[in-house]
Amino acid sequence: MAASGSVSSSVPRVLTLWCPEWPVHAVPRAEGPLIVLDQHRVVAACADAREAGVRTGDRRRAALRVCPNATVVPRDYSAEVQAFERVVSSVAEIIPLVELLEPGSLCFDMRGPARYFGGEDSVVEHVRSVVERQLGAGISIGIGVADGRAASAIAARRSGVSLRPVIVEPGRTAAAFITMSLRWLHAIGEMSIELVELLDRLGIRTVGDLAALSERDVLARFGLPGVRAYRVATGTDERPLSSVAPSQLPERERRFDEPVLSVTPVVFSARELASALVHELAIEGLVCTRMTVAAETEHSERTERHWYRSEGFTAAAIVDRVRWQLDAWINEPSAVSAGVIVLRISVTAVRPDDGVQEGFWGGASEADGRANRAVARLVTLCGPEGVRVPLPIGGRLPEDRYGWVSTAVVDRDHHVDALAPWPGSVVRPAPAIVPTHEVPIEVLNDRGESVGVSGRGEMTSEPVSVVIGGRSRRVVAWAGPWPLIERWWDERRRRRLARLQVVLEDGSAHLLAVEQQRWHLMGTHG
Amino acid sequence: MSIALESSHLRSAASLTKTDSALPLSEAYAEILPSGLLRGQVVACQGPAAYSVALGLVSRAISVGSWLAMVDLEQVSPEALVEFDIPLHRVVGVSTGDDPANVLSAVFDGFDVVIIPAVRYRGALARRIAQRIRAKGITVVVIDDTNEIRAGDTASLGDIALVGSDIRWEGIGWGTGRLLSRHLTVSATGRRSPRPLRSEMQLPPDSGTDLKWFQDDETDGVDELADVAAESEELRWRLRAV
Repeated sequence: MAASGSVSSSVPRVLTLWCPEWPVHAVPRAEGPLIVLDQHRVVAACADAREAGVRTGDRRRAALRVCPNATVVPRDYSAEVQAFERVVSSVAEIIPLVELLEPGSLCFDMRGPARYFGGEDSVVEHVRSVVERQLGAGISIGIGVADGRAASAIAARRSGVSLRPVIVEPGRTAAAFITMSLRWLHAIGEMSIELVELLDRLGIRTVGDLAALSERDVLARFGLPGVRAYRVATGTDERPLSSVAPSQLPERERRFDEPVLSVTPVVFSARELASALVHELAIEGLVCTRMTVAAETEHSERTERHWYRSEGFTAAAIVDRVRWQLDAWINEPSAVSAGVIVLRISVTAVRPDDGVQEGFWGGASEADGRANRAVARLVTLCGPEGVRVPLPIGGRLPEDRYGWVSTAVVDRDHHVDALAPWPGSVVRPAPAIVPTHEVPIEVLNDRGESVGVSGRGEMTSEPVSVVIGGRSRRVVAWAGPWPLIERWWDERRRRRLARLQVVLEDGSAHLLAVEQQRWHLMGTHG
Repeated sequence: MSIALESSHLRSAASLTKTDSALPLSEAYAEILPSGLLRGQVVACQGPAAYSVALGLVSRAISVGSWLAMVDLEQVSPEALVEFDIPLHRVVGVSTGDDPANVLSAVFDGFDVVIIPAVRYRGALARRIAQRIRAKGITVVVIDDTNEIRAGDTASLGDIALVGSDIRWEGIGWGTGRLLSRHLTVSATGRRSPRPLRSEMQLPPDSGTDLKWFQDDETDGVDELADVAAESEELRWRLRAV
């Protein structure tokens, strides 16, 4: 095995605290099972729901099928951060530099605390007791100590399952995790799910399998993301320490001339600061992995939190964290008594940008994430029937070919845009407007009589004018009729009709249909 | 105590969240909208071809990655979106139901481009919608095929009106042929352009030889125009307040 045994002194010992199913604990307790959804997928579920068979990543329908009486709530990051705030502040009372990873998870460097408390076991014990006192019984926590953040995050997750702190001895990372699935590396954000699945197909399923390869081979075959995962697996992780001196790391500050009393405008300026910071680092080829967000009110009340993200912060990720932190802060009783006068974002750690970009070719872009969040919110506002996505369905008539389908029943990760050819349909261009209900119309000849289509598919006379919605317009061109008999074998759904295209005097073109001697509007080329 | 943010801050903050202030346009549209399809702008599409003019306007932006919300437009056929080369997986249809204010503001939060029909909302709501559009920096296209602007409806918010006229259908005769293609003249009238700009185009575009796409790489010019647009917009709002 590559690295077991050799203790790399540059890898710091890190403790990670992880609360499993944190999104559930942020929701006010309700009767019955509880499921938290984000973008239509389960992100967390309470113990009852888990027992019923709800799994993370299930779609809403699948989850409700196994657990029909569950309360379903959308994910609310701000509430999660707010609920986690008391844990953070209680840990921060005994440990000076606590970094927030995400709501429900934090970590810190063990070196100082271990010396102060006299050993890692004792730090773990202290942290556990303060957190348990804060959260009370019934909420399980995971505490993991290992070399580097990634390994300690895995240890914490494992501890969250076994409910006992997991301490991995220095240099024993690979040996400790040898039998664990590589999906854990995805769970802590060190590996993309695509890479996990690719390795899985190649028969590399556990951390041990990956660690048994040579770094050169991994680099050659899987590139930088592969090496990153490999280093985590072998415990040689922790990116080479940055050569940028802390004093050169950028910091941005916005002072408000007049104290600001609401969160939204502060977040607005955070957006500005964030893009400036990200842009500045990008010029140097760096991304920010750790930052400190501080805000201060007129009465010198302060909030300061350290945030860490191994993939690096995008501008949107920075803004999200500022919003979470401020929301948690102002909702804390008696924390804020005046308006905010200063907001400061300082970058405290960077790493070279190894090309993990958000969706340039494929993948999820920022716009995709924003739209998906909006869709989730819209579903709660207007119900699943109020939010629809366009889908090809198939048929010969405009109303059958494509439809708007409720977003709840569609797997939006799977796109099909085109329709196979359907002989007998009217070819391109398709009418842009297809009425959602039947619009009766009149098609008249030069004597003002209704025009018909004979059983042999011939017009009884030439159409001269068309009356739509009480408004009569002259026909300037027409084509057809094209007869169509559909589902003649089905008593109830059979249709026999003839279609006609007309261009009217104002330049508008329509697709008309006659069915049982009655004309109706099938579509308009609007 | 009031929120200490001037509108100029709001504007710059909103425009910074989006990388560019203009969305890409197809070549034919770039002729009549020289400053591009600006974020925070409202475009009203009118005339008998209003729907097609609107879809052609947004198609390039959606195909390069922006998301499109179609509000209360269930009658629009997704097949037409496909013919305009709009990828369906980035399109969402929303019905506002009886809560237009909240639904619209959620839509404005999540989508870059929104198409809405010309609807008359209450005065206060219409104002709120207009403010949202400005603050969020999204592009709103209003479809108004009735061809008459009524004070107070969403079409009257338009910074620019696109009207399709002189429509010629090819391939169809008197009882012969079928509809093949539509050529029309689209003219843009804005509050700032003294003379309408016109462009001949085919809508929907040819399937085989799609429109040549056009994107302005010199963002400086676009930014400048965006500032001018924002300023004139502000002026207009002040006038309306008077």
